[in-house]
Amino acid sequence: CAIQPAGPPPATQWQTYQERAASLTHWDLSAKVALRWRGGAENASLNWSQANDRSEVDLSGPFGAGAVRITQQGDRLEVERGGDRSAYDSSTPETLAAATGWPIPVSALPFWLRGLPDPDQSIEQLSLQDGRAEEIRQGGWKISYTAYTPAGSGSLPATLRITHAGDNISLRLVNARWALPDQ
Amino acid sequence: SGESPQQTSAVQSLGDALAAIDYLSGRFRQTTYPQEGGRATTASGEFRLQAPGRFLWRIEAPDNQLVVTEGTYLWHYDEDLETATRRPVSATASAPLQVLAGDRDSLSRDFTVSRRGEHAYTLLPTAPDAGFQSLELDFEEGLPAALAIVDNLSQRIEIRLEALSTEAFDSDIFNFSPPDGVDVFIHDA
Repeated sequence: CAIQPAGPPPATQWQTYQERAASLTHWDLSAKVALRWRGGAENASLNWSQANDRSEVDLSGPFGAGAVRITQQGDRLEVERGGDRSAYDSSTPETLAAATGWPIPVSALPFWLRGLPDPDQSIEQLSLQDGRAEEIRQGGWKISYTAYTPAGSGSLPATLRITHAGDNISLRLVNARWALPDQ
Repeated sequence: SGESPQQTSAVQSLGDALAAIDYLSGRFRQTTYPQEGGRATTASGEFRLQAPGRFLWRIEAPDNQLVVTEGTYLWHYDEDLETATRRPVSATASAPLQVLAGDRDSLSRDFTVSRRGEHAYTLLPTAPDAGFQSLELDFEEGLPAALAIVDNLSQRIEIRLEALSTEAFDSDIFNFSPPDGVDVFIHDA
């Protein structure tokens, strides 16, 4: 019988994972999120639709309560809630935090959600497990991945937690279900 | 007040229909249609209502959430996320269920009510920052049978109420306290 090869060493598994995840330019993610920021907390259903550098994020509670849509493209972020729409400069977390009280770098999220470091920031720390990210630290943020789920020809994060060193700010995401174009 | 006669009769008859309900329990099936078409999502679970103003809405599938109020505070407990938030029930985001639970002054104060049929009503929130755009409520044999909510993102949420019972039950079920280890956040407004 053929001896099952031990498979590529983790480093190249991580390389393969990155190439596959980074090649996804269009994807839809639905999940449950617990958000906590200065003076507030919410849990909601999340629907994230990505098309190249455009992110469209719907957050809503049970029976559509308090639904809000956040659209991000380049340095512009729009928040739409029941007909009224406000736009923010999201080029720096500070401008976003000042406007929305929500300092998580929105431009980094499409990478972190896919288990990838944000290419526009240096990596402070990266630990791998089974050839996939277990923890990424960038820009004072820590992203820890506790579960992955099959997606397309590989896998993508199913459960993750993003926290900020020193602040009580966090985003916890569970039950992620990914819809990829080739599926 | 300045309501037209037709409007008064709609508020009046909806108020009477709701006033006839003290206790109501059953199951719900909810279908959410996204704004620009695309895949609808479904949810189901059980609910309990007790007039005035008390309700429990337990989503059992596809995820596990509980929305419950004893009339003063509204708890939103998400079992999958192990988080619970509490806020005063006055927050209009839960209004569709407050209407069902026969909160009569909320009915005339917070909505413009019109009729779509003998036992079919449309409620438009008067407050600009209401948590949703419109609510349709249809009765069958004197009991609420269907709701349709258009939320702030113009998603249409259709809810079917089934296996209805008007028998009394212990109202202690509306008193929620989060299990240990759950991350709790109290909103004061």
